[in-house]
Amino acid sequence: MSDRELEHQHRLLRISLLVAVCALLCVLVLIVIRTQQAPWRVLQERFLALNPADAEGSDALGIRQYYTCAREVDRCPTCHLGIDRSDLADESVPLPFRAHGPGLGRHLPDRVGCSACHGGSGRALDPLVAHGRPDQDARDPLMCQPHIQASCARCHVPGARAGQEYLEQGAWLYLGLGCMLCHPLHEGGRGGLDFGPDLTMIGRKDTDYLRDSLIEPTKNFPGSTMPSFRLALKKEPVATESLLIYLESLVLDRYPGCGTRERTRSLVSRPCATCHAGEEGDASGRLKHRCPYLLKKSDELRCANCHATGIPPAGRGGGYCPLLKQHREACSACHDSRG
Amino acid sequence: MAGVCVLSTVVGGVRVAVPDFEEGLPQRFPLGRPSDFKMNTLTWLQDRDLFVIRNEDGMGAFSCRCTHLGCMVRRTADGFVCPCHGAEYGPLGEVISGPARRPLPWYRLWLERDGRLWVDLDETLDDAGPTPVVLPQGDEA
Amino acid sequence: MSTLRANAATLPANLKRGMRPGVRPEDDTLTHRMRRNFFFHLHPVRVATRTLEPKATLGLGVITLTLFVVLALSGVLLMIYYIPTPGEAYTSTQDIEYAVTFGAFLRALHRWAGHAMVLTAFLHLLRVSFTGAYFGRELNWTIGLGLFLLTLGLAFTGYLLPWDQLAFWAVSVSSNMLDYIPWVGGFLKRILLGGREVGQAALIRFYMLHVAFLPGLMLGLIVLHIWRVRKDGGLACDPEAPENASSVPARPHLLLREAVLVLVLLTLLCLTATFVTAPLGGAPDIHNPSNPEKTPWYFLWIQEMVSYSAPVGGFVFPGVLLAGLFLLPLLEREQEGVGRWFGRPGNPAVLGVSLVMGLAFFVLLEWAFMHQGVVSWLASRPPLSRDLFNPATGMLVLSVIVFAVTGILTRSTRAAFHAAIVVLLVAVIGFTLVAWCRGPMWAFFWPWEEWTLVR
Repeated sequence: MSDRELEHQHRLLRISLLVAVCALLCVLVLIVIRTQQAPWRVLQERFLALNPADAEGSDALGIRQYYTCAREVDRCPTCHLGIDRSDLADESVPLPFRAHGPGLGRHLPDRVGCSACHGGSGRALDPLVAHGRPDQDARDPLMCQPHIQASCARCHVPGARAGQEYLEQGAWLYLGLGCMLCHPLHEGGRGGLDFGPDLTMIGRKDTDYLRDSLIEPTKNFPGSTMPSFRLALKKEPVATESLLIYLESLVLDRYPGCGTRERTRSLVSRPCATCHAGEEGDASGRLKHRCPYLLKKSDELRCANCHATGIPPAGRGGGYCPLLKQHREACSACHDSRG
Repeated sequence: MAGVCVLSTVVGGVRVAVPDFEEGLPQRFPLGRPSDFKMNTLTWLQDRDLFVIRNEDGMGAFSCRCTHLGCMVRRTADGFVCPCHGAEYGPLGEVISGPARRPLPWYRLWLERDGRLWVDLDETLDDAGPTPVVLPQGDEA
Repeated sequence: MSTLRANAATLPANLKRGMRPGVRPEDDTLTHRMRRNFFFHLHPVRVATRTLEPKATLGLGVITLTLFVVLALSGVLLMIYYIPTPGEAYTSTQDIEYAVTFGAFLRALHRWAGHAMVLTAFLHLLRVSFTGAYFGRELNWTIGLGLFLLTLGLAFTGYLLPWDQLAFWAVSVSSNMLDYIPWVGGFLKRILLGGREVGQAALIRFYMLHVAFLPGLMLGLIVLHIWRVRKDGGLACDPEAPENASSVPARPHLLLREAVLVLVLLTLLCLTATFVTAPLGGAPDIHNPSNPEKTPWYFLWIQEMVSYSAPVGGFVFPGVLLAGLFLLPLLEREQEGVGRWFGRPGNPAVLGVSLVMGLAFFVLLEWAFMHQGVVSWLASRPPLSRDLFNPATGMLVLSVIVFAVTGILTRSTRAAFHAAIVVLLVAVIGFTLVAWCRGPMWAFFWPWEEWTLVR
């Protein structure tokens, strides 16, 4: 390389250096701008424009979050700024700033949070991720009715309270259609002939896939021996949805400590009236299950239908009832191995 | 002297790094009663990654982890297959084809005095296949 | 008192002088200016003009070092929010990604710089190999190999930390591959995981390795590596070659080029981190691996080979590679053409031929191994047949043959080694690509085919 070439390159390089520095500065500025354009910041600016009284001297409200009784963090109120504000309940308030609909009852947002019922990813601030599942691009089906009823199973026995009609019907269909004859639920229930896959996590799959599996199983599994439930489900309206909701509920973690009356932990800590219950919890001297299903159908059921091999011993959960998985050690509270 | 310092640091450091205790589930644990496992069935205990088999020859417990790279095997009509790299096993865990070289390990299974079946994942058996487990009086499948 | 006042009066001048020790106004030569600044004195005072050309080194060493600095700084910032326990690793990563200001950018920057560093360290190794720059520098070459392994270790330990489904299972599979190293494999796996499986103990050990032990080692070796380059006489070159005769001052010529390179790299890195987010999968399900379960991309070639034959893929092939690389400067000592790409002028043609042969052989072996007839034949024979007849062993054998033939034909150890390296490179990249395409049940799918469970 001659001296002249070197000089020439040197000049070019000095210019490149200047350009490179400017480019880097531009990129850094771009980063800051993009951060400022985060969806939640934009929404908060819009909210403050509509409700200037909330500004209180600052330009933005920052990240707002609930720390729930299940020790989870939900950042939903960052965008859903009016969710716990009764003065913003009117229809004219635009979404997402409107207050939560009526009927929350004791499910106060700052105690229960949002994602315990509505699913989604509570920690996320990106709308797509917050309303969806991390492993799927789709919106979490638990967001709205009726699929939100699946979340009730986190704390409540299905059907124990009002507002769980779909979930309850789904649980009944699961029992009545005989799913457990072929599909195990290894998480706690056991049983079945194990022809088909464990259904504990099946609720995570795409809802169209699940519907196909019920109505036309060979579409998903060519050569499968699973029968089609098209006719059985057609008998009742919204039966398929209810069953899907129940399947989705099986996936969810249980929160036994949230102060619900039907605790899903050991019955040992429960009062005698749990089982020897007459009306209003009075002791009745007779054994009477509190499980809402057994109560409703007690004339149709016989003990032997579930307790086929004798009262199940402690530790393994028993029989074919998928709901018993929540009463894992509970039977031994009253029943020993001799019944 | 420098050598002694370095050597003792290295050896001591490695010894510290070797775990003396393990978090998590015990290796010896009960599976339930023999009556929990029906005759001529294969039960999959998902939480401990075990298969429990019961037939006329007796009972046995073997691992459901593929010996190639540790994925869970799946049941097929005539044995097991591993979804990760296609290793195939027979109904008692013997290698049929694929990249696995060792059969699925069988663990020692015995009946304790409390009437429950216990398994020890630290004791692998040399022979595959269910072996007779002495049942207490009056206990039937 | 008056002394104090006198000192206070001369404070500005003394400050200037004290903070720049050893500087005297009469020392304004280039040499002095280079030596008295710590960063400048890392460079020689003068460099051969040849080394200013981009093609001399492609700047890969500078790039790798810059990436390391970026990783260290972004890593330190990430440490403010990351919590290394299974209960909180995933949630704290989510917090960084969604709630921390610039958190998503930092995470992306850290991840892409990490992947880039593995790639550039590898390319740097290739560059040094193909320019014969290891000549006479056995120690520095070994330090460099150590640095490359440390880079892989850092990338691997960092991969687990987000504790999502992808991270958990990728590391589970990779650590199971350690079992195939004879004698020490099981012990290594136990020490790495702190138990039998990936869990809390593994996470905290990986964290310790990733933020403290490995970076410390790496920093020490980097310092040694750069120092050795200076001690060994700067960029390797053949002192008798004509193009190495002239030299220019390092400041400004070399420094300017490095500055531009670093700035361009940083700009591209920041742009990538802004627009391409680091992935974050679902929470880990320790009972349900994803299907297929894959290691990080830099270990895919090992996973592919292990799917053929565990001992060959996990131990023999990587072992031969590592041993071969270590022995390279000891067995190959041709002085001619050091510093020049591929050595002698005739060599590129030879390497082209080995490249074509390597590619053809690779495609043939892969096609044969996936053919149903071969699969059935192998299934009917004892497992040793599978160890002997598989693409990994095949490519290894080919590289030995190519090595021998090239050596005999060209009478040059450099050409022979380069030819073998080319064949092995084809193998490594080929296995990575094949494994990349694989889908559920480890079946092969072309990139345009959709993945299905039933094949």
